[in-house]
Amino acid sequence: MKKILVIGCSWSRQYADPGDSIKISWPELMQQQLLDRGLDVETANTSQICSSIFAQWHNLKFYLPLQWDLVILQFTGTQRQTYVADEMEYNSYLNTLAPGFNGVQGYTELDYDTMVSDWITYGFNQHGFLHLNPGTATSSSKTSEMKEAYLTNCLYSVYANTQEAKQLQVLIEKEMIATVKSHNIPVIAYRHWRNPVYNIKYNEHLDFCVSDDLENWKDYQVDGGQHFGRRGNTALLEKLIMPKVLECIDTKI
Amino acid sequence: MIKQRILVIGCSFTKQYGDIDDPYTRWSWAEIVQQKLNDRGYSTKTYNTSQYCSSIFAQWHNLKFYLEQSNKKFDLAIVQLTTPGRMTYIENEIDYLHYLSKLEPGFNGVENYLEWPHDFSVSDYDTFKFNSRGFLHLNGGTAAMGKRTSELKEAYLTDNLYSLPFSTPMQNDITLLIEKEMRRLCEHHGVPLIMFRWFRYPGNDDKEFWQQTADFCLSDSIPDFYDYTVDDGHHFGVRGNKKLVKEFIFPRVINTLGEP
Repeated sequence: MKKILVIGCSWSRQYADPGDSIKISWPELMQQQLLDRGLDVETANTSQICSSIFAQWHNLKFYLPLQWDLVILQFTGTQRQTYVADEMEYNSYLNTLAPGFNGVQGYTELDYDTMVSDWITYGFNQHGFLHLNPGTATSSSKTSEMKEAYLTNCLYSVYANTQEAKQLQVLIEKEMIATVKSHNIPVIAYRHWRNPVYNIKYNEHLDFCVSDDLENWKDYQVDGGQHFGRRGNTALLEKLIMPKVLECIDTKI
Repeated sequence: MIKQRILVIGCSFTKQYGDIDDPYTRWSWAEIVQQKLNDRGYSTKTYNTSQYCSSIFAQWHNLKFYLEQSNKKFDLAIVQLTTPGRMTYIENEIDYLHYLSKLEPGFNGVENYLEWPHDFSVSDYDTFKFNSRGFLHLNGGTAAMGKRTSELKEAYLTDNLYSLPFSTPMQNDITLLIEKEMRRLCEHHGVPLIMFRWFRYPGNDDKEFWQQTADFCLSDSIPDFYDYTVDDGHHFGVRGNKKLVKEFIFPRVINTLGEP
């Protein structure tokens, strides 16, 4: 049995194309395709909607000791922040991987309903965390100390509102890749969307960037958040992810 | 004519303090370095850009500015790394960048020495709003100094209670990442670097962890370190700063600059 760890954000969760009743994430689709190829494999999708790079880094350090044969990092966007009520409680939550949305064998993920942050009151959700980005932080008129802190940081803090914010994100991304490699685990690292305000050098440490490397990528989007449904996720897998996964399987798994 | 320029980036540890028995004589170690260079006939100029309570984010931001945007070629950078857990808020980055170039003669008027004047480099810990140059540095101590508050202070406290990068050990990892990046930045621009730490952060006492980036750590290197501190903030007065310069900074400076 070989094990694949996926760390992403909403771009690695399940969405449906218009008129399609099936919501499926690319990691669950990948697991299905690997099973179809007769491979003995498990995929753990730890992605959370609106996850920050800080949460992704934290989660990688939490999950990495659990013996993986491949790690796939879908880096989240910049200017996101994660607040946790209690770190130990949050770590306990990370262990609650459950069967996937479509019940694909050998696939687990963090439960959809309890993984979403509370963007109505901006308090902690039932697992004691809150992810924010500029969009979710302005989706409701209600507020909380976390939302206020987030908005203040976006306006004024050096780490969130200057050039250093995106550079810090790249530093963390590089550190995450190096950490996985230091454990002799193959890693695939990519970005779903490169904000146009960032130049192409922002991708240099990555295997690929979907918005730059997937032809007609805008045609696959199902909402304003650049999410993919089954059609886009199938294309993403076929063109960019699966060739690299199979390369790793051939050589390492 | 100035032949070599020295950039100093620090926090309050690199500003001037007096000894307990002589509070009126105040010298920063950076001004002492320039004085000694003058005495030895060096044609150097020292730019001490240190601000009280500066955060690692501000130090990184300022280093990038001075190396990449200030139109000055520096021959040596000395970075006194600040402690983790600090945050900097800036009202307007363009104004702030403008002020970074506005250094003035030092506290003791040493020739070819410039620094941020005391009044401009102190944050407003009465109202916790931006100071006259549009910034506010906070750490755990300064944020707890007064009963008054502001949106900046509230954000800082909330971050320290709940945000993943600041309420968990991740803050040490982030600090180290930035320190490594500052070192890489100097190498990239061909600027020799002396990087040191005043004392190890009590929240992570792992000596090897912090040794990854600093050339030396003062509290580890001076056996009677605390005998030189003049307050609870571990600041040095003239006596400590002279020892720091003589034993740790100046030999490295001379080694880098060569003969006058």
